[in-house]
Amino acid sequence: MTTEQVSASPLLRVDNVKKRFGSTRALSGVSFELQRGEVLGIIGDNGAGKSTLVNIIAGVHRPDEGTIAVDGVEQQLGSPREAQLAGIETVFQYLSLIPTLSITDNIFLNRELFGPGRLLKAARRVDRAGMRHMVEDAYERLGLLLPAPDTKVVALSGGQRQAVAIARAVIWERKVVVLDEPTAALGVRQTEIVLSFIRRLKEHGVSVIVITHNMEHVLAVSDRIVVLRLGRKVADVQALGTSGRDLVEKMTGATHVTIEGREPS
Amino acid sequence: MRRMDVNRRSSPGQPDRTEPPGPPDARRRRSATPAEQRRRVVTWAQQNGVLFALLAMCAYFASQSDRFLTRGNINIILLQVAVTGIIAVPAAMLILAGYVDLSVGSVMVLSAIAFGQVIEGGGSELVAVIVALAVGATWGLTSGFFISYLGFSPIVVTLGGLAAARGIAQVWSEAITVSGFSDTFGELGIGRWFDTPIPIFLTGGVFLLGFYAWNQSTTGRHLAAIGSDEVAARAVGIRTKRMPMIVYGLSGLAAAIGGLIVTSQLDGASMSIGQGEELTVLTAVLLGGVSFKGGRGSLMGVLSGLLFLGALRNGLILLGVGTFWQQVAIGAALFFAAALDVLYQRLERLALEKAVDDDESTDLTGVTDDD
Amino acid sequence: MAAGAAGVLALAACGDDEKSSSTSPSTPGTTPGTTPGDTTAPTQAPATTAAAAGGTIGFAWTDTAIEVYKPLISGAKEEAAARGYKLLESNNGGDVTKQLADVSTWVGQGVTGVTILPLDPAATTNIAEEATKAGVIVVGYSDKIEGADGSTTFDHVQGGTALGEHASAWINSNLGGSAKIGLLVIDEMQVGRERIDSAMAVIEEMTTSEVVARVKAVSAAEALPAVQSMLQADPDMNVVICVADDGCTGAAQAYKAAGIEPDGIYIAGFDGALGALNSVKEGGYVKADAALDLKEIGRSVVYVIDNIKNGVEPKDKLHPYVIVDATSGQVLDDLIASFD
Repeated sequence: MTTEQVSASPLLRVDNVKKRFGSTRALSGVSFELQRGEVLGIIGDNGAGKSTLVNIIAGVHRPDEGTIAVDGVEQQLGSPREAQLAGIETVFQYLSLIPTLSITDNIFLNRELFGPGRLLKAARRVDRAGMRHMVEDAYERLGLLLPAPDTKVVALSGGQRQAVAIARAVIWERKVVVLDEPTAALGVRQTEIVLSFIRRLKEHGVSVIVITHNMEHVLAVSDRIVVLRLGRKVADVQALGTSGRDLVEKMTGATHVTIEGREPS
Repeated sequence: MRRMDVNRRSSPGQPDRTEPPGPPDARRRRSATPAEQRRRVVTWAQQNGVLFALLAMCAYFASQSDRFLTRGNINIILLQVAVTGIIAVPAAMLILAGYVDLSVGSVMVLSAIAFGQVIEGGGSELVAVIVALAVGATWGLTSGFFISYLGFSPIVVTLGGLAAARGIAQVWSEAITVSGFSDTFGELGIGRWFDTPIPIFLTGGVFLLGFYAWNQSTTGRHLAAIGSDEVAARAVGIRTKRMPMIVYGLSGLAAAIGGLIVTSQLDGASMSIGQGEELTVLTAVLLGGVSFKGGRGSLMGVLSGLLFLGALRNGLILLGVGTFWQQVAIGAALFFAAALDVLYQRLERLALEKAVDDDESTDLTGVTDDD
Repeated sequence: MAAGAAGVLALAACGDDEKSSSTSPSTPGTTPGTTPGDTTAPTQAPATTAAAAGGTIGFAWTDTAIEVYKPLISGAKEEAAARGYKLLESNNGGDVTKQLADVSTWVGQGVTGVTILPLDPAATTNIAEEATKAGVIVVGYSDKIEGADGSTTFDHVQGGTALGEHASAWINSNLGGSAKIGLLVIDEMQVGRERIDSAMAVIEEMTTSEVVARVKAVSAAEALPAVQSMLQADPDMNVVICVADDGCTGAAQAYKAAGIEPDGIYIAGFDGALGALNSVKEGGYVKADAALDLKEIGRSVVYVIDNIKNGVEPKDKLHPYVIVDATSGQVLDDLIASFD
């Protein structure tokens, strides 16, 4: 996929964000940009500040300093809801899916469609048929073979749930979709399913940020990669042409790295 | 593949649905897989199992006694479950959200005593009714506050409430039953419209409101979300502390209404009102398939469970069954309800295991790995 | 339902003018250990912190929310004051475990005596043994307790028989000698069985009636739905005997709600609760009540223990029921007044 974007302003711009918790400096001035239609991977070791960064972008925390701009407009992300309204949808590692509710209900939870018709809309009557149709449409558009929209999430496997969570982000057509450790809890087969789904999102022009600690995965899906270490950005490179060893070096700060048993490729 | 317009405003709105439908073959209507069919059967059984038990039992009683299906007897059955029904609606909503109110019977009697004491003190019946309703609602909201906001255990708080409310009622009334109210007030419990006792209409109204809230508005699914996974519910912005507190308030209000109805029926604010009512309410709710764990259940099931209990008690008396067996039958119904709950949870787990197996062999996106 | 069920049987039994109780020598302030000439008196309990000057008496009844408790405890308190005792009550809501726990506590505190309504005969017998060993006087209330020193009971058979006679007379005069009878019962308690069975024995002998329904119900709130259903089983049911007369109020309301006129209906019960007494006085559905002089019974709660302590009679007091109906005049008024 092309990585050259001709738009003047980036879709998302994070500028010099700092955050501390008590005496711990979680982020010491991180800046990066996300271009339209790009998949940006953010990678770093434990303690690099990835979670804090995600939480700030998602509106869970507020930065001590620094700004975040969406489509050139600076945003105050005071809450998750405000982040959503600003166009950022975050899928956390903890999927926030309600097991006993259906796929449709989960996708629309607390954002239910009302109607049909003005009267029922005013009465805040939930438009169950309408919501189901939207999900079915999304299935088609994204070519998903998930179970029927009325299936309860409790009956889905881990990979399917991850897909529902991502689909939920996508269906709301946010500008930016942030995926926090999407493959962390998955086996090999299911990981591949999720990664191919992410690639497919790109085909639909969705801009994605993928946060992970897994080098292989980040190289597999990203157009560009940002490396965090100890609260700072230490690299901002195109994925093509970067090796796992390069990444590991940046992540850990070492210049020579050998991975047990084989050379990093 | 159509490129999605990422610059659209932040809600999936009408544009998606007003797009012209694609050519017929593009709109695949997937037929249900065997796993999905299994799941649908389980859900359907969950919601309607008690209904069938109810119909079967009624058929049996009708065959044994020609009085069972008379208009008068049906009126009596409905009348006798009316109060339980009014309380069962908010009770079911609480259980759906993973909470419980064990104090309803005591709040009933406390409200009734409040009514009686206001009358004794010279107040008008209207004022007395308002005070009684206020007492119930306030008790409920207070319990709800301790449980929802301060994090006290629901069982501990409402069990304490069960003892405290009745104790207060006892002291306040000095165990004397205030009686002899006006005929107007008597209309509440004994009056009839179209030859049907008035409390039945009240219960019907409460259930209609309940059905709307549960199925047609966001209330039902939000409460289910809270009961299923409170953290996730909070993460999507549901007010996980405010909603349960309000429902506790409704539970108290419903108990007060119930207490007033029984007071009217007895023509006296008796300390015996509401004794053991919480158990009856719980039985109806659990029989109706609302899981005690929370997150799952239908109000239609609760209605079926309620009618089941009423018909059971009535039928046993009509058939002249001994008092011992009457008690055994009611206890058995509760046990049956608990067993059903476990059964449904097992079936759900089996469905999950099957889904995982299915998933291993299915590609989510219909594309192979060479993308 | 247990609390309500057990609660009702507050049966008190006296209504006569027997003054022996109040003329027995009162011995306030007697120091422990001095009970001359009475070999059956138990040794006094060792004096402990809780014992009042004249001694302390514990009264373990059932659910004190029951209306009849008021005159009962009022009589007991009067008598205790007159004889110089301190009176302790048990607030157990009809729960036998709580009740017996209270008794245990009192025994541990070294009370003079306890009067217990045995909610569970076996468990109560055990506690009674412990109490006796500790030198505490034990008196059975309403039912005798094995191994106890005394009792204050009510003649359920006499009461049931008398009520049965009254009912039979009414049935013969008003219903042509044949009635359809509904019974509100509590068969797991001996009191309940004795009352109902003795009444029915008389009715069956003196009339040609049949029992059409038998349902467990003790309180007004239980009786109302029970009688409603019973009326469905047999709309011609015209007599209801309630093992506890709180149920009479509920039964009457059931008939009223069904639109049945009171003249042809006979409802009666046992206990002498205020609601039932008032209903009897007003005349209506409730035609009679086997009443107990609750205040007098309350007094006996105290004086039987005092009698035993001092070695005088009676140590087993049997209170009779008195049947009241709308014509009972002063007797009925006095009973009603005892609730003030």
